[in-house]
Amino acid sequence: MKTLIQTENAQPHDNSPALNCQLTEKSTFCFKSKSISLSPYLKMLDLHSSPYNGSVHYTPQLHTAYLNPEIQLVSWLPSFANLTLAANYHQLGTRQEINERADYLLDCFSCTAIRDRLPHFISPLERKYLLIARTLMLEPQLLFLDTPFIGLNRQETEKLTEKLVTLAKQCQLTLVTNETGSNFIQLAQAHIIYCDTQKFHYFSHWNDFQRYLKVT
Amino acid sequence: MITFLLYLLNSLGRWVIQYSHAFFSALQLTLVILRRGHIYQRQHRKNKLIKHAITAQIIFSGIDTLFPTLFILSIFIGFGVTAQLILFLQTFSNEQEVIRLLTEFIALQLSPTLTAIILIARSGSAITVDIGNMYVNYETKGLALLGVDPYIYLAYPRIIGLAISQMALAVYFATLSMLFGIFFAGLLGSPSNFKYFFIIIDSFNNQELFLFLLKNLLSGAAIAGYACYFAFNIQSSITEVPQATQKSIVHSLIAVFMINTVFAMV
Repeated sequence: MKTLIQTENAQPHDNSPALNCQLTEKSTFCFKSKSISLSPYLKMLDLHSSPYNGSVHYTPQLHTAYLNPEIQLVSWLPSFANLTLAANYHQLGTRQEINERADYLLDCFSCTAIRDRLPHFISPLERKYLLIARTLMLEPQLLFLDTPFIGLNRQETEKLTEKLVTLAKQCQLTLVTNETGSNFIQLAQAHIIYCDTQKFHYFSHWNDFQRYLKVT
Repeated sequence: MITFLLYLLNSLGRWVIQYSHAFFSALQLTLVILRRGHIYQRQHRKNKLIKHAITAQIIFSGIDTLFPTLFILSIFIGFGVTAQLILFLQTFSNEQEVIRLLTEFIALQLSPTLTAIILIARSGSAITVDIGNMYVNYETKGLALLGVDPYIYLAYPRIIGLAISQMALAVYFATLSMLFGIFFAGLLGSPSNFKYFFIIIDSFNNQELFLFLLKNLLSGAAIAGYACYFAFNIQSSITEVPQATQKSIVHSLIAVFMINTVFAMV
């Protein structure tokens, strides 16, 4: 599988553990940690912030997207217009193509009913759906999701997990996320990059990770 | 006494420094926004997103303001100022002098100022609140992450839209207040005052009209520029939004009066 991002002893901060990993295409990677915050690592991987030490290598013309819980939809635009905005801005196709893709994504996330509603009048889960759909409008190869399930209850988390896993497969997307539950990891067959206090460890299966936890 | 004077001088000096800093920063931001917007539009000639946003801004600031706010105000100014001036000046001036004073005072000075004040209160404050709230709620950050430049998508259409609206509204306001004034002067005084309808058309020269349009364009751009500058300067708290709005209104008012003063000297 093609490597999209490779890191060599990359550290977002002075005293944070160094990260050595390879993010390959069409896979899901879950960062987990015992104690440290993993958001700076995601930001570093998305080149939001440059690494303090080490290096992050990108494959040429890699198209990434980043979502964190702070980000909101444009409050005065209806759901559909929110989705088409960035695609229209970048002229990623004809108006008809963009509208069709927006409708397709609304359908994928079962949000067709809220097509013309403003973000204030939809549920937190639907808002999450729309935020992800808005990002997918730009057809990224790699999507960073910083704490994607924050603010959602158990049922909503399960629904979002199912949608994410399905869409990642449909869109042949690489997902990189943190702070996720075991259900998501197992369903997405995600690779786990786990940080104990000192070092990052890589596990290709949930069972390997569980075994490691039992031993340590 | 000396301490008080020093305190007064100190306060004045601090205000001048703060105002100058805000002025040059807002000017720089406005120029950056206009440059980015222009480059974007040149690169995406077929893209209608920004054109639609400019049109929406013109509808909100220009057309929605025209009726009833500006229309009613022009009736009041026509009755209270233009008609009274005509009736008063007629007693000791000839037709040409009356017309000259009307065009100079009502059309070229009073109309742009009053229009600008309406736009500051109505649209300038709305722009600051709108963008400020978006900034605080991380909506602009979300746009930036999608590669949408908030300066181009949010600020550029507002500056262009407000400049065009200010120019159009000032023309409408000047025309309506003069026409209503002459109409009321004809009703209240002598019907012979209706002759001013025909004389006034020929009373403007091209240079005056050009300066009038330029002044209004600059005033509109200044109002939107300050509104955007203070909105984008909000850090993180929602309580900063009303403060930014207040600053935007005060600075815009000063800028409009400064522009009027400069053009009055030309």
